Amino acid sequence: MPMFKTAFNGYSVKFSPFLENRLAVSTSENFGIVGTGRQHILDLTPNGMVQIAAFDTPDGIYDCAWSEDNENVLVSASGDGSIKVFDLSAPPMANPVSNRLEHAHEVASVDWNMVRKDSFLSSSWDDTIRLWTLDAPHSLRTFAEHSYCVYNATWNPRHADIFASASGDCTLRVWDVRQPRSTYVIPGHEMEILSCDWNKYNEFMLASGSVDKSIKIWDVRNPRQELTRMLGHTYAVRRVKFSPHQESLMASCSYDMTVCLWDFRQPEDALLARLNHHSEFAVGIDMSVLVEGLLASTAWDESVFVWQMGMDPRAA
Amino acid sequence: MAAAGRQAPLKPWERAGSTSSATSGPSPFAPSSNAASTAATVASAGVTDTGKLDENGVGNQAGTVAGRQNPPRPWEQNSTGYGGTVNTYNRPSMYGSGSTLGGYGGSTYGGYGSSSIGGYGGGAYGGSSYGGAYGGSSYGGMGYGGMGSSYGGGMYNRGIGSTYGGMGGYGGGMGGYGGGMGGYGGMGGMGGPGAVGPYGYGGQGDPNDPMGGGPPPQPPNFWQQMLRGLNGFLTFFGRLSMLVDENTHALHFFITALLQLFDRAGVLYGELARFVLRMLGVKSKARTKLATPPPGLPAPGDGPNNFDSVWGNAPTGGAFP
Repeated sequence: MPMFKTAFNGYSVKFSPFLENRLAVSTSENFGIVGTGRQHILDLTPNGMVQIAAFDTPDGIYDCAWSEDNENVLVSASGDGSIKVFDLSAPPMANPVSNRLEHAHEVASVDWNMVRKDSFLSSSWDDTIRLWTLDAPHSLRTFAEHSYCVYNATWNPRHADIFASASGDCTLRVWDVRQPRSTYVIPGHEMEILSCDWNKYNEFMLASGSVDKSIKIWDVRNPRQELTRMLGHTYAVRRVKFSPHQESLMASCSYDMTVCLWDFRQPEDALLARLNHHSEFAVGIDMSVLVEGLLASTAWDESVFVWQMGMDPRAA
Repeated sequence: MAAAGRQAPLKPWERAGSTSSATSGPSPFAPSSNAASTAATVASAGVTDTGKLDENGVGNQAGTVAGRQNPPRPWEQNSTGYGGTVNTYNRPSMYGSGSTLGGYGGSTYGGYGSSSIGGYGGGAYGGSSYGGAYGGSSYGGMGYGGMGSSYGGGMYNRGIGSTYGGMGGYGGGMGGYGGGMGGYGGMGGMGGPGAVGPYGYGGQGDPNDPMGGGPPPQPPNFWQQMLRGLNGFLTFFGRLSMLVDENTHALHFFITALLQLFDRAGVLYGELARFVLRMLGVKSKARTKLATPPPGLPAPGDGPNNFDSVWGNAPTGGAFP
């Protein structure tokens, strides 16, 4: 399956929810520590991955999210605290078509609402989460209860108003945009929580990945005790993702440079596969909603891999 | 923005009968609102944001419900040390009560800052050891103390300290906060340039307007350039320490890279010194003596069968075959 080399260090990869052969890759220069960023748009072709657009930004890009409402629109989370909105149908010079600067520090993640499809979330190192729509120039709400950087915020895929956030204050929080305060606080890990994701077939099931190297599965109705804990990564877990197609299948990537696939229903034998195709920190992973078993990953080794589950990502 | 044109395909879990049996039981979530738009949902809920934002727009929640205290962030100043109590009033407040150098000195990080980055004034650039850099702190704090000390005592000390406060707002830029820098004391002179707002936040139109609007900004003057440089410097270490925060493994990589860099710099320095001495007519010993070839192998320049001509006529041919 194809591999694509980026100019900068990869941070995030996301499949398009409209086109099965399209994906967006966020990259940052100098490992995202200092320098510029580039948002790549790639197409899978029989001849490998082909770049159809790239947008340079003055600061690194840490994450991106496709619009669920418009196949040409995506938003990017920038290190300068801004959120850039790109429109592939607009002329290159017109991009970014919008620049939302409200966060006081680096924006760590963005996520588009898959149910109501008109709004998206951003989480930032300024400890807040903001709720946005493309129509409004300013954020609709700010959620400021975390006491440390919010590394990830993600919408519930089955509920239009619920989302979860993962923070460096070692908690997960579950929010309802109609409520003034968070609905649940889950003191999930002993160390920073870098990522969370909802199960697509169970609206109460949440996964978290942490610096303590573990992945935990939660039923948010019982925040005191996790359902299961999965060990296997040897460094911090950077991103976790539930499969859109199979309820118990998960993927994760880590600072141990590996991508792992898990079946959380098998507590003794949860680790299905460990893939070591990256040679630097693996920080971005996604599973295609449109093609079952299609995975993508990116890492600081400036590469993007797309492969079918069960195959070797490096196989030509 | 162009019209969407079409709807996204149904998600696999949106098809009928895709709900897990594990979701049985009462739902703690209120049913999804019927409003067509998120804006209408939020408006009809009539909620106001809770949680306190400080003057930089940063969430300002003290403490944590989890097992340990939050580590200080890179942009936080004057904490009492890693794992210690984070003085919440020292959060990125640009007027930060912790903006005095004394505060740095008292903190764990002060030592770090003054031992490594404080090298400007403190004379510790060379003296900084990795031990110090390592042990001082893996978290933030880096250099803030050092920046303070880097410009010596007096006004610059405080000035830079509070300037950092101003930049702590990052997006905020120096514009609106210029007064803060001046107000803090010692840097009244910088209030002026600060007010120009090099990031366009000082009242130069809407920062969210990508097309700008209004006249092009003035080119940055010296102070702004210097402050911008400092900002980049601090951002660099801020992110670096955030990275370390996320994974101490990275620190090992960074230090290794730094050592390699210094090693190369040392080699370069040696070469340069040798060249200068040579120009001054001082002969230095060759670093390595040419080894005598073992018997049976031709020495350089030793007859036509040696390796000197192995590349044939390539140089005279002007191009490689």
